[in-house]
Amino acid sequence: MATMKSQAGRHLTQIMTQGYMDLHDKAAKGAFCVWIAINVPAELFSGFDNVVYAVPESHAAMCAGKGIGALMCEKAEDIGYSMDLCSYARIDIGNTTDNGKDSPTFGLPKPDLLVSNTNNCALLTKWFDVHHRNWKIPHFILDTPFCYTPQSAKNREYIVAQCHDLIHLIEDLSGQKFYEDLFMAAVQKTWNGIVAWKNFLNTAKNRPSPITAFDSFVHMAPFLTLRGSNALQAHFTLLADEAHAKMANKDYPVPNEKYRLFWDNIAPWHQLRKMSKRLAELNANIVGASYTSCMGTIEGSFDLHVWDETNPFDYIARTMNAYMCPHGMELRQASMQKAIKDLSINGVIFASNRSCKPYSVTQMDQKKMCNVPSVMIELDHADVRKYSEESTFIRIETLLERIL
Amino acid sequence: MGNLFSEDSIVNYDGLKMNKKNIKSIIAQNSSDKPVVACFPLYPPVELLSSMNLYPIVLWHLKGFISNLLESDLHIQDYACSISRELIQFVLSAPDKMLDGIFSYNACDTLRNIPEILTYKSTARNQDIPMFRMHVPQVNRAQSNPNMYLADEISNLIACIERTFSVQFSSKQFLQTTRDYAKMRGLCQSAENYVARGQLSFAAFCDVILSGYFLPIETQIDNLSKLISQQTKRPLTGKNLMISGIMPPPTPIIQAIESSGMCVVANDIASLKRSYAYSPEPTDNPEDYYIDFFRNRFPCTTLLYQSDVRADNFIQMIKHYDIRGVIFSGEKFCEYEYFEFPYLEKNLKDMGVKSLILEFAVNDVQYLDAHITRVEAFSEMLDK
Repeated sequence: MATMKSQAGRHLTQIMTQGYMDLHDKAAKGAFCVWIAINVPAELFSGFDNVVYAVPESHAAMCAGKGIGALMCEKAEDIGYSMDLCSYARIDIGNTTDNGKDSPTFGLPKPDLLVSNTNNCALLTKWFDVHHRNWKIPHFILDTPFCYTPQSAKNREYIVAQCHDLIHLIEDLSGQKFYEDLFMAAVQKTWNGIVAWKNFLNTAKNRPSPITAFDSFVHMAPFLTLRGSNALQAHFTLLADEAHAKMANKDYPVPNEKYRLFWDNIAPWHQLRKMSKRLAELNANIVGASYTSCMGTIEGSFDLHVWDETNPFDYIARTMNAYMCPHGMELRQASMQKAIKDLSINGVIFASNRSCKPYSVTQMDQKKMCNVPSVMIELDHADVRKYSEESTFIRIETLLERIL
Repeated sequence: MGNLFSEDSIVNYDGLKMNKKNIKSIIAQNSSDKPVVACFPLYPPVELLSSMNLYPIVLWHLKGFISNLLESDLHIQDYACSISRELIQFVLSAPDKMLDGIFSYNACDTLRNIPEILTYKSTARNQDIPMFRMHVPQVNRAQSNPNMYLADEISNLIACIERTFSVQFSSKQFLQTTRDYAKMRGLCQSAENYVARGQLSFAAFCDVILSGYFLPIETQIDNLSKLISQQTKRPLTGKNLMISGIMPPPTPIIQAIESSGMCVVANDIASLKRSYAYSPEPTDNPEDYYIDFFRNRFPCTTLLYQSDVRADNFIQMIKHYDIRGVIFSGEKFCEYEYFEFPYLEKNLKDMGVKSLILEFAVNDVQYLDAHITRVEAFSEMLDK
């Protein structure tokens, strides 16, 4: 089974490495390069012959996962950026101070256009403004209204109109033409991939679970950087197949799984290995996470929003409201309650994340609404300096004691 | 002049006294039985609300109205800014029936979640306070045209208010209210000019304008007129200073600024200049009014589409007012402001203008001596 697991792991390394190499290579050869926020619909760029995109948030997470998050943050702090600002932003800004000297991907190619949006976090527009001002590069803000209730038709039309504005802007700036059929094909590939992803996540319903949320944290990266590609579809299919094989072979990451936990917030990138190992020793498995369950979904449920294969603009406008941050508390609660039931969760870890206020500021009330034992821990998703392993585990162990 | 941030007195200006003990009576006195609608963040459509016979108050600078954060601390983490924490505390600890509605529009990542926190707790207390929301488009006006969307948001808001409070929108009344607000903003500008010439203190100026967020427009106009009439004939000279931030510094800091030989000739403060510097032409059409209001208003870090004009405007102000030093009044955890400080600081350095960042958090008003020392040292630096 170890071989099968490593197959998906190796495949991930291969496609991510290739993805970054292609990105650098194509940008160096003149491709129009766009930097985007994670829920900007990257399939749009597949509608052009030679447009590539980079995702600074994903790159920052990778840096944190490789253990250099704090180092990169300090570079930004050294030029005046407050330690209170999002650590992804500090890593990214720090990375640009020395052209990616310490980056595992040699940084990111300099963009021709920045595209932020306002729904996951509005601060991302301020972060991209830093580059916009420093490099004099255009910055397009994709304004996505926050959802206290499910997205309205009016808001969907508003988002679609902006997608067309973005296309026109790229056509003007790059001199390239947009082909809707290419875009549509990319949406189809993303859809195929996300169906496989959901298949992978759903294996966690099995007791014991053949996967952990840490697997989903690690393997979600292609959804951010390889959207609309064959590689995305292939990887998530492989991942799902592997999880099913593990289940068939009774190969479980936490064989004596006693505690089935749910994680709410961004992954603790600097702690993945340590935290999963220590939890396993306690017979605890974080089997689901709002952060990775929400991919491809919409407000109020972690069920996939179905692509009807007719209107790609409508689909991307609708699923721009995937992720948790663009939703109000009631909608988040509805999604989580269903997941708690579906996954037979008996404890929730609310990770109060100093670098992600949009994810965190309703957690105190959500915790009160939770119908299973829960605990709140403090961390920063990418800055290890704001994390204490011992105090975290004291809290988690206290949670486990409450779960009988 | 009262101390804006003291425990007991928010404003003590020429007979106007507001403090945490009598906020309910102040609001009751002024509302004349009009429904009280608490608004946040700083640029709500107060003209529209006033014209529909409501009494809008803006939930900003709430330190003086609350004595602790006990209620807020049950709902929001301590790494949220003081504005959000105090806002939650104010609403959740407000006396029963003090607020008849809450209005909010999209702002920062923290504030956008607050309506539901307030709803959650209010419902638990069996106090269903109606919530009104609107989305202010943040698209770059050069790349997308959000006018229809915004107009529709305004129309929906009007319809929602009409339904909730059984009131009727009147274009005639709206025209009158927009005239009143234009007059008020004009008076703010005049008062600012006197402050810039050293004929009025910046501390008094702040007190009167900030108290206005809790008062009817007629009273705001009256108070500003009184303030202007108190200008001294003999201008005081000082080193030209600009203050920038979401909120002005606490009063003891302002007093230290003024007593150490600096004169606040310009401000780039969200609750001051950024709020009063632009007023659309009075009109009877609310959709047109707010399209103009959000398109042309004085740049603010909280309106994302104003990024370019904001930086340019800041630098132009430095040149226009011949500024020698800038004090940034930093609101801890305000990402919108903090992302901009390094860029602005660098530009100031290139221009030979000195700058100082002061950071204020929830409890800092109790420990201001270190900040006062830094202000005094900064003033000495400007002499060189």
